[in-house]
Amino acid sequence: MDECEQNVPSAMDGYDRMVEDYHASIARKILVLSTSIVVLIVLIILSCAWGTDNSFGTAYKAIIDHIMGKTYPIRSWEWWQDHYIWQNVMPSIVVSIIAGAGLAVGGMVMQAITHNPLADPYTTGISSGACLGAVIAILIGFTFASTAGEYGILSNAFIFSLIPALLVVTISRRVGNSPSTIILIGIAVSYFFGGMITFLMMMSDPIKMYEAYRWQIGSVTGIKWGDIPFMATAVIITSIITYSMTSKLDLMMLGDDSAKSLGLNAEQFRTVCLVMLSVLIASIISYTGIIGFVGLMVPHIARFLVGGKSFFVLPTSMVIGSAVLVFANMVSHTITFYTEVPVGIVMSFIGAPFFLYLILRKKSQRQIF
Amino acid sequence: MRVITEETFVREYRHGNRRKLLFVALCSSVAAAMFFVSLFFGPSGIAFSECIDALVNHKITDNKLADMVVWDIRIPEACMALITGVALAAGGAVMQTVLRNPLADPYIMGVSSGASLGVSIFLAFGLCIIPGLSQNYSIVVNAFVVSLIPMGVIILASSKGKITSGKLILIGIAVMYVFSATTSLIKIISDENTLSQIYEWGVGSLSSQSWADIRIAFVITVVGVTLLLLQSRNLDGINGGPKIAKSLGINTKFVTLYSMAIVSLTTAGVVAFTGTIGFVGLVAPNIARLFVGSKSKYLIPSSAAFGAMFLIIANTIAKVVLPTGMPCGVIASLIGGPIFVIIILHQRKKSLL
Amino acid sequence: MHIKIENLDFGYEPNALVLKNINLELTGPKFVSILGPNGVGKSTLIHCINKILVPTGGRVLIDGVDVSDIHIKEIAKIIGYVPYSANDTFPLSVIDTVLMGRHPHSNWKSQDSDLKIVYKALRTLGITHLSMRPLNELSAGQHQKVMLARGLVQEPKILLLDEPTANLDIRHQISVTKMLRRLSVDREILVIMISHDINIAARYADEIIILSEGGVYTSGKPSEVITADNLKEVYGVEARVVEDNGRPYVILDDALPMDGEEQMWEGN
Repeated sequence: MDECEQNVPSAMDGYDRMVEDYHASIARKILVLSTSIVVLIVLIILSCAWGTDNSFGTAYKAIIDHIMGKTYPIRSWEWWQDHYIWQNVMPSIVVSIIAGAGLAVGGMVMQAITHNPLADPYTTGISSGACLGAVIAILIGFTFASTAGEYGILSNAFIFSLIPALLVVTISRRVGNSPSTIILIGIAVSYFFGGMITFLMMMSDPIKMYEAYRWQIGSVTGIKWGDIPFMATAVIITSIITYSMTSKLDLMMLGDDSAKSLGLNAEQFRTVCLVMLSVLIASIISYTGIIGFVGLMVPHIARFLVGGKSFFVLPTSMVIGSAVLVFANMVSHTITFYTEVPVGIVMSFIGAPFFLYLILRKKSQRQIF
Repeated sequence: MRVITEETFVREYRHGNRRKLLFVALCSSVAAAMFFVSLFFGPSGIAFSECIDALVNHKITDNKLADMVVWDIRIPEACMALITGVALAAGGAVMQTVLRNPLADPYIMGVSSGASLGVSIFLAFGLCIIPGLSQNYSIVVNAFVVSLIPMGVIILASSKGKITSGKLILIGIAVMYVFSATTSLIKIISDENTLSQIYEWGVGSLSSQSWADIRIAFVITVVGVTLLLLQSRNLDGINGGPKIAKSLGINTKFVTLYSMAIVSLTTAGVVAFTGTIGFVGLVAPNIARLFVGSKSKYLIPSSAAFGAMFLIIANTIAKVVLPTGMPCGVIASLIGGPIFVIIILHQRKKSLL
Repeated sequence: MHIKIENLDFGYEPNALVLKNINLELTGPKFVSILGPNGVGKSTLIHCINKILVPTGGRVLIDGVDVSDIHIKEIAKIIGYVPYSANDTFPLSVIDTVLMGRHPHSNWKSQDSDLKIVYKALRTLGITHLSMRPLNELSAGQHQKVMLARGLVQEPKILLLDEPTANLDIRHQISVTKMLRRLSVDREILVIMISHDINIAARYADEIIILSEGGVYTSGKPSEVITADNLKEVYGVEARVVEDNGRPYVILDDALPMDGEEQMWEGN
């Protein structure tokens, strides 16, 4: 007579079909993920071939040979090619991969814990903290590291970028860290730090100011192999932790009440995520400066491709984030407009139109916004 | 349950409205008082008595220097602070209402990023939309014209189909990113001194305004704010949500785009002279809302009065703390940030968001 | 299953209590319905039971244990909750949303057994055809059924529901309420449902709790508490209560003028 009356045994007929559909949808998601990985690999090889005489095939061969441990006589043509790829091009590619993946994870987690599609990894003011640290190092010369210069800037950026999250966590402990509290405090902190940055910039001479400004624009060039392990460790560890928490991220997206009723302490989880994110983003931003758009945009693309479940959104975001940044890096090497265009600027030029397209495209089956 | 009679009901409503007007009056008087206080501070080292003398005996005093400093530097600066405060805060209030988002500010439609781009183009390449103007006016013209481009793009992009506040904000963000990326590009390729000039402009400054500038900004602001006030009933309808607005017979799309265009024009008119002064447009309406509620008829004047007060106080403090000329935008952020946090902590339960 | 609420106070602000000195005792299996006018704290009371809110005073005991001593993960295994509405900023598919109800019981990988439970729940509510759809495309009623399904797959000993039938058509109001009643019998659980439909509650509930202005006005069997006097006192309505199959049936005649409310349009 009606659905509620039916007995369970006969009602299980449709079960197989549902499971089939469900597994098919999972297979589709895995396919999307694998395709993105292939695209990423192609982009990496293309980046190595780009701007040189090498064809795609030669670059591919050179990379594989190097990984296989093949060596060449010093200063031979192959040696130079190998040297060029591994010392000049590869570091920035690897940084793009790491930073892209890390920023995408950061954006995804931040959007989940603030319930806000416009959140990005910098929402709590991490970027303004890092900038202030770097600006202080460059303009005043005060650093936390014993050596000044490059590592001074790095350590300052890292330590200062942890301050905003610390503020958010301590302040919100008094009032309960709802999504709106996090966003509002983030704005206030950004303004406050922004004010201090402006103050310092205004007090300094143009040359130092140029240096300080240059630092803020995100860039992946000029990074050496030695810089990579720290960043890589941070990104790998956070990704693994995040991966183990994907079901909790899904719960967060239902809202605090539902999350609590399903056994997740939403406030505590949010604090844990915030702390983890600040370390992750701080470790990236102190090497690269502020690269926008990846953290905001990539999780939306991933959600569009594989649906909302964090278990798939996370790896897809990471791969797409890497691919986008590798691509932007490639473009930034290609365009020289008086000077090399930093990848942060390229990201805005690529990202904004895409973003606009996402907003304006006709209402389809899966609306993102 | 307390029973409220008709008389008390009306009386309390009127009383509430009087309290709102009192808030406007209070802020305005404080702003006026601070206007005079601010005249006594500044980098020129004019003594207190000399200021009084210059004020009272304008043009007939023997102390020409003091007269010049007070009447041609300090009073214009103070006037600009008041005008800017009014324009940005009223604009912020309207943007927040139209977009139904307490985090909106008058720059959300890209005015600031457009203005910066216009100024950068002039300072880096010497290109002005109207060639042959003096340096100062080239900057003003470029800033004004280019700052309206994002708004134009947004209106074009949203002309088809229905518009929602979320969509408008997102389009605004996307357009803003393109403009600020272009500005960054120009900054990167220009030399240190040009960068420094662009940066200084962007920080915003109320000083070195001529009387002619003040007149233009004043007229633009008065006209703009009046036009916005005339829309206050429609704005309240939109604040209730698109369906309610429609059921009240309001052409949501027109009112939204019209108000945003007016806000952008007003803001552009001020920003062209002062550079982008942040925080006032965001914070002043939020604070005013705590006192007078969300009804536009009261919110717009209250925000304007509070904005003027906030900016003139920030400007005075800036002059006291660092007489060599610290931009008052910096002070506004440094004071405003913590105030904002305190308000959040107090108001969280009444849900600011 | 046994819930005991002792001297419970709750206020969102320290000096404005929403709930004052609530004392209740409920023993399952049973189908309980909470009635009461707008704003008396029905949802707040439910939130205090499953620790979404922490009481200002007093305590809630589940099988003799104070909830404040139980970790919310453990509470989630015992108490299911169906909210009035849920956030769908980042919508999941229906099947994934419902699967989340298995979270307290399972690890992060969903087992086939979980899928079976999900299917049963979807089937019970007649929404299997929606399983792959994103949550934000559903109608209000379908959305509510998904929330219900999530509560069901949690397989709780106590199920709390906040107006589970508010967006449903009349047929589904009846079928869902019947299902809840059967659930309480078949699985021997305590079902507590907030409702505004007195007749549905009176027809199916084993026990009715009526809240008014901050406290429990009365509680007991439907036939005991659904009386014309009680309805007049709590809701301010003129009603006749007739008996139908041993259960009270309410015919609403008129809304009585309340303090501070005036009849403006007489004669309609």
